[in-house]
Amino acid sequence: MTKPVEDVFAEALGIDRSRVSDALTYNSIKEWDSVAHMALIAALEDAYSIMIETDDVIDMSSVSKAKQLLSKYGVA
Amino acid sequence: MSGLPSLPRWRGYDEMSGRLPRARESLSARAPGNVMLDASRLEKWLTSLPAYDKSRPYRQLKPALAALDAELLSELGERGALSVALAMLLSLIETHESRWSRESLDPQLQPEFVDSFHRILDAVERGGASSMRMNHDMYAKDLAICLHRLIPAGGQLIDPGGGVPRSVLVRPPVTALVRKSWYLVATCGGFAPFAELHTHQRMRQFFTADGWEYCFRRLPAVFRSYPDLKGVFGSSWFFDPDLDRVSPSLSFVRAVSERWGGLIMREGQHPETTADALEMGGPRRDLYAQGKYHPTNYVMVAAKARILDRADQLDKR
Repeated sequence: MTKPVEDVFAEALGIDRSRVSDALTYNSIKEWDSVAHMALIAALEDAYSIMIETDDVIDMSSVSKAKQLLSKYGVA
Repeated sequence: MSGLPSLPRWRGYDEMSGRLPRARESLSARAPGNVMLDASRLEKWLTSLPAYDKSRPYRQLKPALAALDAELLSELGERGALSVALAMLLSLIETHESRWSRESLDPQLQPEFVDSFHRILDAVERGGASSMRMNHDMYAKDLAICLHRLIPAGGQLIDPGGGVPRSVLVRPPVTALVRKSWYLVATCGGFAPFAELHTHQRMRQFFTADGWEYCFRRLPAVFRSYPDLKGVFGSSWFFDPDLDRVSPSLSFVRAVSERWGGLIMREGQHPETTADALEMGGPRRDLYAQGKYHPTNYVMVAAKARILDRADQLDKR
């Protein structure tokens, strides 16, 4: 069963699941800075067995944007 | 060495051989019909690359890889060129153990390569991405790892074929000239050869304080493998002391390096440094736009003697 994107975000950023919503954006909380962003990308790649392109790493500026980009990789 | 930090999803001791047939099968299934990935063709492509000169950086691979990529692109198309690129990496991983026994690398380093091979096998099984094409820097790095030339070590790749640019001595402030010269000449013993640190985006989960500490702890094994090395150096905006103010979460890079005896020297401001520093940093971008941050490149140099001293102290704890 595929893990929900929100769960991957919560685990990778070390925050409570309730704080993850589509509106959550990069750098809007101290836990999601540029260092955590790299760990988040690695966690998404692991969770969905995908390889995220460099342009998409930079473009992944919110949970909502992440979902949009992940659909490009066949992740619902 | 005891007390290595544990790294997330590090797989250096995981069995690899069972994965190889699966990766080959997956690669063959994904390769376009016109691409034959037999051993003799792969050997031909691999031997078409110039012999690797251990005294030079991994970047030496790039011109030949770009030329081979262009040739494969016109012959086999984009998907075909990617399949060949992945097949070359897989082929080298398959021969890793037999080649390793002929290398003079320290045994402590072998699991570091195995960890990276697991990552590359993941990519082969997934069918890769455009950054796995031969004309991409990330591919050159992965190929150099598979050739046992770039050494994966936590948060950084270690390239034994480097040398500290002499130009760092004459950069301002001039008052630091004596201190810099003394460190490089007396403490390190000269400008070359030095191991150079590189960041690999495919190992981004290790770009943490623990990952950097891990890198330094692996250096004694690198020095045993390459006894002529005088130390290690890196060149980047993330050694900039101003990050304490603009991006404190990245301060660990300089802090860890200094803990291991590293000397940080200002190198200068360049458009590519600015682009790199602003690429991932919202707050840095804002401060730059307000004229409150100017991305600056710094060179970090750490002498082998200092690194070995600290490693000894840690071992005795």
